[in-house]
Amino acid sequence: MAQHSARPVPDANLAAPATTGKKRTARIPLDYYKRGDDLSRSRKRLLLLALLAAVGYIAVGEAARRGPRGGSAGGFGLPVAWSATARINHGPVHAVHASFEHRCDACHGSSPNSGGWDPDRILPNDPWRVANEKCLDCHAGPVHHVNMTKTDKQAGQRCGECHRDHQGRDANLTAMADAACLTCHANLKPHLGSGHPKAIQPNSVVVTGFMAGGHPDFNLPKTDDSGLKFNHALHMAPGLGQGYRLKPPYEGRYAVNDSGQVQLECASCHVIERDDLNVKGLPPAVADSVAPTIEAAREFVRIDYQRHCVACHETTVDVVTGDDDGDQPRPLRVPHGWNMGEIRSFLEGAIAADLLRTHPDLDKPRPRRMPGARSDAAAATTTLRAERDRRVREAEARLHGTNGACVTCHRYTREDGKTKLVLTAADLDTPGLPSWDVERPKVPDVWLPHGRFNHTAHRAFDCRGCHAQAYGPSEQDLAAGFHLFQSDDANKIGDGAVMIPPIKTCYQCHFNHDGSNAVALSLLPSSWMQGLLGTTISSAPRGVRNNCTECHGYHNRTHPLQGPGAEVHAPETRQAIESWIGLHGVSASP
Amino acid sequence: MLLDRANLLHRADRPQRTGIQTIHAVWIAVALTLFVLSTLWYATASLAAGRLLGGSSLPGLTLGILGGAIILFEFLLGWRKSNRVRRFGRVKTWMAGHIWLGLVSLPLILLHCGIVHWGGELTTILMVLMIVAVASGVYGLILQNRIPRMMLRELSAETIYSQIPRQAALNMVEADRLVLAVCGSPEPVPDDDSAANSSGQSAAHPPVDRLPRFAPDAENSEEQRDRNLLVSPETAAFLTVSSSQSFGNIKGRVVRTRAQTALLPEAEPLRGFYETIVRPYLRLGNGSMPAENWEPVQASRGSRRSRRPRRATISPLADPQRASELLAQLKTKLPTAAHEVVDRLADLIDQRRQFDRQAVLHRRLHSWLGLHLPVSTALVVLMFVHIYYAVFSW
Repeated sequence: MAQHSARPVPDANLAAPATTGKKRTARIPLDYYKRGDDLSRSRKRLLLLALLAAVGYIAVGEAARRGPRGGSAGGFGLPVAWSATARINHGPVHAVHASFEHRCDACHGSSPNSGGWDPDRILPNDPWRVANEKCLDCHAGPVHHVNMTKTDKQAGQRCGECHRDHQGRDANLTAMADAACLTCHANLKPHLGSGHPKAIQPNSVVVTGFMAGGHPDFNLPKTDDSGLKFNHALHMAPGLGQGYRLKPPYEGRYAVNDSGQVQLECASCHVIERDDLNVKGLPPAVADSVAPTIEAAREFVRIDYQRHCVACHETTVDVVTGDDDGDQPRPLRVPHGWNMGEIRSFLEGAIAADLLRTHPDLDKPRPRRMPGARSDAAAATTTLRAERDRRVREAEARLHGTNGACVTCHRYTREDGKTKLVLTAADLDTPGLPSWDVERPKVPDVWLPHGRFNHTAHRAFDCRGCHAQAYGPSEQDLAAGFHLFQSDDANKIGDGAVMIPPIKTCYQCHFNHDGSNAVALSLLPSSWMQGLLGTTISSAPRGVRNNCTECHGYHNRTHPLQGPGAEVHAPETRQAIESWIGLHGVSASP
Repeated sequence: MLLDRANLLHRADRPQRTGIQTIHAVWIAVALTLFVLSTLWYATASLAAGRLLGGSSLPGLTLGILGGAIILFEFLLGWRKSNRVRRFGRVKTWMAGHIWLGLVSLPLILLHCGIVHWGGELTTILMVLMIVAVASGVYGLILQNRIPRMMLRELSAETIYSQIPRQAALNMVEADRLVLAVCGSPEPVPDDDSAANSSGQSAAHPPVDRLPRFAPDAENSEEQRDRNLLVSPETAAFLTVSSSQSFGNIKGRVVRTRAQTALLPEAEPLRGFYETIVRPYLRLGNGSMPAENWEPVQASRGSRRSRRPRRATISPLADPQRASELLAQLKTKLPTAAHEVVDRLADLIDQRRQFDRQAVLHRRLHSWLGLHLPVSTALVVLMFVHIYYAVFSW
């Protein structure tokens, strides 16, 4: 411990020298704020970093856009996705346009990467607007309705006004808000022009929303007047209601029940197959792009005799022919789809050939006739023709008479427009061509020509939900005395019934959350509505989408089959698709 | 500086309409009006169009311009705060506008982009920056309303944040002088190179050159002058000691001048306690201060370099309860005449503790700016790029 020398202790009451007060104030320098602190210095560094990052982001984008290009990369070898063109993109284009996403000039008039822009084109008139011609290169966009007023036609002139891309890969470019439709259809009268071949009664087609009273019912005939006699209920009954069993060579074509009787189901006839969409000539890669897959197809394949009917409805008629053992009935298969004249010619040829084979004496050369004497050979020839015609008439009677093979499904028509269900012997006993002919069935491919319905989208449901009538009489029907299988009976049900359910069937699933008009709620996706409205709405019944565009198209409303790959689509467009593939080097091979 | 802290706290809690509240009320009214009118216009136009309108529609473009102007106004707050000489309205007025217009700018920009459609890469980045800027601003607003009140309540020794190291060092010098005055100079001096310089002075007087310095090159620096402020030959007989005082509701730090205490040979335990526990704590605190603000030490290799205090060495004095126990124990070993010095040391320890607490709160209070400012800067730069591309490319 060091020794400390004594030191006079100052008086505690002694005041401090006057200089200390000034010095006290200097404990904090007056210019302290000029020096900053660690926080402010960190802030300045971060600020500079953010500034550099922002400027660098743009500089890289411009370099990738404007720099010298090589190969498929952007300027200076930078990825194309880094270019300013990609960065200023409004958003991902639809998947069908994705191959030219980074080529703005593919859709837009001109672009910065297509050689600079035209200052005259800048605001306000036509900045980057997509010209209709660009769209129409690939898409047909006919006018909505020929009877629109000129003003309405002009209002919808620009494709981009309604079809807005850059909304994401899966965005629906054709889904319009109901308000766009209701603008006119809520009060159609002011929007009707003149010159339409069909007179429209505006009040009958007023639409205020997809709900009871807000939408007219389907405009369908009360009975099926397509010219084909068909009874869905009969065909859905076991064994077609007659204990029918499939015969060779058609075993296995349709399902059978435990007793071996044929048991049809809806899918036995109503199938959706891509091959029928006329894409067979295209390479698979192209077909995939232009034709919908089975899941995406909407319409059923057209009913075809050879495909759907022949297993049970063979056009076979028993023709009496002669052989060494005498005349015997022999089944003769008559081609389906021929008219009466063609059938008669076919029968005459087949029966005459059979007669000549079995009765060769009928075709012997005629001996010279003595003057004044009657020729026996001439009498024999007359006998052959008469015999042939007689047998043809018998065969025709089996085809077209009561319980005839053709009468089962078809009816007959004449040039004067008259129709008959069954032909009599007098109708058939006409020289040359018969005056009656089988009426060509006109079964519509699409029963709702102004809308569309996707059976694939509804595959989760039992067909009975909408088409109960196709399954035969209900217990109530049977109790009321209705039956299926006695023809020409007023109480028989099923013949000519139109199987399209009324629109109220659709309302069961397609309705608004609150039963109100669709306009307001359609602005936001349902997921957003659920998020916004919370759990209070979750306990309420929720409807499937019921927007106008769920069923209706604007441009092709009269052509429901005018989709990709359909024949009615402009053939030259399909050629353009192939050219496009050639231009862009897409391999057509799988 | 003495503040009537209790009165300030009382006023802050009192629901009384003041001038600043009126300013906020005006800006709130402006922001709400903007929001309501914009939303009504946008909703009406969207319902008429049957879709959510985007930035190229008339309402969308107008709201985009409005939102952009607000963003620019928000950004100009920094410029206004740095120009305190010229008056372009009161900073408080600017700040109130900054808060409420900034809040309303987000919905306006959301309407501009069609609420859900954020567009491509650039616009999505802009939207994210916008959300981050507003969210960090709201977070900062919450902090600015809570932490200053907390500091006002808890930190009577509060000083300027950047001056905390300096004030702590001054306090340490004062403590050194207090201890030297009572205990005298130790022989030999263990770690200071100023032993040779003290030969010309009486042992009873504090060896001026042996007192701690602020910085390695402070011989002719401002810090050296500051050291001389406290310890110079003409003021050697007096002590200026920083002290935390309270008079009724008024609390704060004051600098008191005290006469030197006589040497007390029995006070040797004070020197040991001071050298081992008190002085490191007064110097380093909780060890959380930046290294550059602290006294350098001589490295073992002989080169002078700063060493950051280790955070793991938490002093027992950081805990008030533990500190009072230790000091009470110390008093039992000292003569009564030295108790006043211990009390002075306790005061300085308390100040050191408050400095550390203030540093933590201050960094928490301003840390959000480290996100808010850079994000806002990037937002403004990219916003102009967005405007350029929107005009010339879309």
